[in-house]
Amino acid sequence: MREAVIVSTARTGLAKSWRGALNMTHGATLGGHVVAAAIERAGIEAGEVEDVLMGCASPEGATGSNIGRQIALKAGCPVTVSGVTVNRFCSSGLQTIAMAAQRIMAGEGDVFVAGGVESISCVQNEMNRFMIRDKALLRAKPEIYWSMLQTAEMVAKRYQISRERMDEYGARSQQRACASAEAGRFVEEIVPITVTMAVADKATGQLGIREVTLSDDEGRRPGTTVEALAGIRSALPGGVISAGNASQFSDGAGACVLMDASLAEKRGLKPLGAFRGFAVAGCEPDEMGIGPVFAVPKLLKRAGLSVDDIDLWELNEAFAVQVLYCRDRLGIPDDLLNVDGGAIAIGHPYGVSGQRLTGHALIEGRRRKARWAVVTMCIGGGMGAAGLFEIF
Amino acid sequence: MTQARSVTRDGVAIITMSNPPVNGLGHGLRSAILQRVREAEADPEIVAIVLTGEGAAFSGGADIREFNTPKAVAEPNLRQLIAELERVGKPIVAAIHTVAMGGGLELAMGCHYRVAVAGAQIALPEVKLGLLPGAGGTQRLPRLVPLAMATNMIVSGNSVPSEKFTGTRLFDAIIEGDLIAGAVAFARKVVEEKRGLPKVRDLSITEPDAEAFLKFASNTAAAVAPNLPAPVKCVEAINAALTMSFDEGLTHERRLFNELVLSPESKALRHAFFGERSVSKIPDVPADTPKRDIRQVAVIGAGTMGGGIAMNFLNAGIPVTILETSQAALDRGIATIRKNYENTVKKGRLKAEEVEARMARLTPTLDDAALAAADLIIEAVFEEMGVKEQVFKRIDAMAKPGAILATNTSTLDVNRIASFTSRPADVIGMHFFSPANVMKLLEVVRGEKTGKDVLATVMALARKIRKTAVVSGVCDGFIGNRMIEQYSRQAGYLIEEGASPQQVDRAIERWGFAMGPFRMSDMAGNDIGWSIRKRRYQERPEMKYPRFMDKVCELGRFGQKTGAGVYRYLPGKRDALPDPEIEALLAAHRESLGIVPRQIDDDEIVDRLVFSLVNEGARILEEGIALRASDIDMVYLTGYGFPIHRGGPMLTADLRGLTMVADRMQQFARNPHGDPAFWTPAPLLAKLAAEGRGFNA
Repeated sequence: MREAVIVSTARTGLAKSWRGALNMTHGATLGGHVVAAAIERAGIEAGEVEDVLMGCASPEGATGSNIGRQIALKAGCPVTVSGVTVNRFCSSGLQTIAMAAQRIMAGEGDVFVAGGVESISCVQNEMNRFMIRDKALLRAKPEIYWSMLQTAEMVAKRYQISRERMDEYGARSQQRACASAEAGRFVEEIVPITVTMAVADKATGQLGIREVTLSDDEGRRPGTTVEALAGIRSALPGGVISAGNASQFSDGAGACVLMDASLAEKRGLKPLGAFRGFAVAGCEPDEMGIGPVFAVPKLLKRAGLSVDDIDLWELNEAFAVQVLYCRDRLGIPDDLLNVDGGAIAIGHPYGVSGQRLTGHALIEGRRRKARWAVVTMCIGGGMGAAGLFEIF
Repeated sequence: MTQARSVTRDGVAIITMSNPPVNGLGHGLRSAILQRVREAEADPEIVAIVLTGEGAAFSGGADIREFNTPKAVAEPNLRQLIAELERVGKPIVAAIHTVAMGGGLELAMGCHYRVAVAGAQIALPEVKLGLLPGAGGTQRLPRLVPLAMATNMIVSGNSVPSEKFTGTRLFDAIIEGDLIAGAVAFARKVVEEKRGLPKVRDLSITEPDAEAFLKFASNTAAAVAPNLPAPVKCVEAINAALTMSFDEGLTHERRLFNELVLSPESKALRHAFFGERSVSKIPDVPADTPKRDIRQVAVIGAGTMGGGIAMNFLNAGIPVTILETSQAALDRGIATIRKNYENTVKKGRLKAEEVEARMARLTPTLDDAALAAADLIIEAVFEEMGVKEQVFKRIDAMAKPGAILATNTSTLDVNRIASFTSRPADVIGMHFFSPANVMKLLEVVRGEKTGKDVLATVMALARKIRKTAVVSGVCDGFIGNRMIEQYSRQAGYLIEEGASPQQVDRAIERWGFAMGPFRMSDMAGNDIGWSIRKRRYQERPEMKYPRFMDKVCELGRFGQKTGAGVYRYLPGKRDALPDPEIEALLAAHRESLGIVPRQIDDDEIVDRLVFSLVNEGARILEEGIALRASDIDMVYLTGYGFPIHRGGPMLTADLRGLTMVADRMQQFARNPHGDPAFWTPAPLLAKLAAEGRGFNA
């Protein structure tokens, strides 16, 4: 069977939503920038790409109108290159990588671009809410319409995970991310982008438009301690989830080039790793955070591996509470999990995160000479997704 | 048609607006401008027109004397006038100096060309009254200046000096030297060069990020002022300039303006605007009352209050002598003043050399002989009649003849204090609010014998130190504290009856107060209220008080300063955390009173707190302690954190309708626990309600 390998990865720095560098940047510009960079890094011609698959959790407005196709054009691909937008909420970026790999394996093309784009700044508060709920489903399964925050509170309550443990995890995510950034471990995956942003002067309140270059993630907070996080007000009155133990709203984009392994070899390219499998699984919507608990065993069983075989884990930090539960239920060793921090420190542009985690696992895995990496995340609506990669 | 005159120079008609003080665009002036323009248009000798203003402004905008009258919109209204100017067949050049604000700027933007001298203040301040520029300002300004600049001006209402517009299309030239000569020369040049009759409405806006930027602006405006609709509507109107044709944009602007005019928030802001202008009007003390010279001030007491009071005068350039009884207290006080200034420097709001200039105006002393040089002496010593007596006797002995002797007392009888001196006509209350260098409010307490010139002097001085000075008669607590006592009592009853302190705080904070009564008390120190209550228990044993706060104080829980009060506090933090210990104490307190706690909804909490202010305010008005209802509102807006978008307690009552307010009070009166005697509507309130009137109208 044909093999699919990942030959390049590129992402923007993740910017704080509304206040960050990307607060006025259209999805086509965001996505086009990283797709062009991934193609350049892969050393291929844009015209060779069969299809550009972009994940997006809110594919509308500034990331709407089949943003995948717009991104392909903005990236400099000729009109003959197709583009598609894929939505499985927070796993969209992993989903596109899996789909690209699967099509290579099925012989439906040799070169694909897969990744994700998200502009929470320009989309989340402008969403089309018209008929957003089905009345009958609302009666039958109201939890499907819960906010993610509600589901996280439910996981904390149902599995009795304390605020203290969450804050401890949140602080550690920050500390790990800061140490890794200090060591330059995100540099390879980030491609700087120059944009115009809107700013409000803190002292005078004056608004302005400024040109900025984003070449790092904005969400890290050096010096974060458990004590500092303990003082943050919970998001819901009487709740345990707070800004310190949940992922940050972020904008950004990321893309990988995937190729048929033999073509890559013929070209003399050095792939980062190979795609070895993907699984999704459903769970109760009111505890969507625990989705990985069901997706990971499926994935590993099909691959004939066990948790102990995996050398590196990226489990998306939607909320500290679900990471803790998944880690302990699955028996993931703590020192192999989110080794360079996660979305709590770095940010979570929903549709991008799967791509970021994959790209980072491949780069970090190579550095620590790991062989097997699992990328997994929980998904709104009650799902988990997991991808298996073999690192070269 | 005397409000605009026209002279001709070199074939250019110079039309000068003349409606002092700031050429407010009242109906008379609007008609006169149109008339003069028509004459110039008809005169074959005239090739161009210069429009300018006489005196202290090009034009300050709408004539506030016409506010809320039919004249404000009588034809030609401002929009019609501007439309006509735009259509005139000869070039019109606006010649701007000093001030072009609001309608004045809108008028200028309706001219074909604009020239200005440097240093003129340019603004569209309508948002400050809860409105938006309603005569095309939101449509024309973004066509003339960069979008961010236009947005800042319209959303903040702040003025920008004319020279800052260099490089924009707002001014075609900045004139050096004589404005009119320059404007006439410019007009002639325009004619000679056949530059035509450009209209701002025909310009297009080219800002690539406009859509995203205006969304950001709208989000920011909503976040900065969540209770005010106008800033967001301003952005919406600007957005219309980008997304609609000019005429549709004008219509949209007008629709939004009309919405805002009717909004309670705009009514509140306009009420405060006029309230601020009314406070200095005292019926029996006319504006021309002779005033005394205040060149040197002395403050007795260098504590928090004394130091804060001193800073007001230092800031205004008036030298201050500050007197203490011990060197240590004096040093502490001076150090605190310096630290306050240095903090302001750190925030970038004051220059370091200015700190030195201000500190140089301050003379610390332990010698009360220094009082002899002062034109105004303000005491800020301990609130106890015996102490005040000693101090005022000493002041009386030391002060020079003609000096004003002021007390900063917050509750004590100013008439009695005056009686300790041989010159009660010179004695007045100047009640500052803590922190005195920050808070806008100054209650000026007029004693029975206070001289009119003394009152006039203090009111004028208050303006100089940028205070909102409100005159109060003598009564226990004056206007502000007398009312707040009722508010505190209601807060106490509410928790006895079943609400939790955090529910009370949350409800009133959601309504708009910066801080609820219990958080506020914890911050100020619960012992302050306790000592006032202990005095009341002695002096007025007939008055009913909820006693829970006494129990809190008996535990030494004085608030933030002791780490615990009604709430608990983490070391070094100011976040008020609910405390189970207080819940238990409250439960036991209710039980001791035989009260079965009931569910109390937020509406009842807000109404009881706010209407307690209203009812006491009505009594204060009736007794003549306050001169007018808006004075009471100004006290609450500038000194008690009353939400500005509500316009003060009395306006809140007016907007609710006094009949409904009285009805609600009668409901509260039927609650056996909640002080039925207090809740009988004040006679003035009942009378106005019966007449279908309000406090303010």
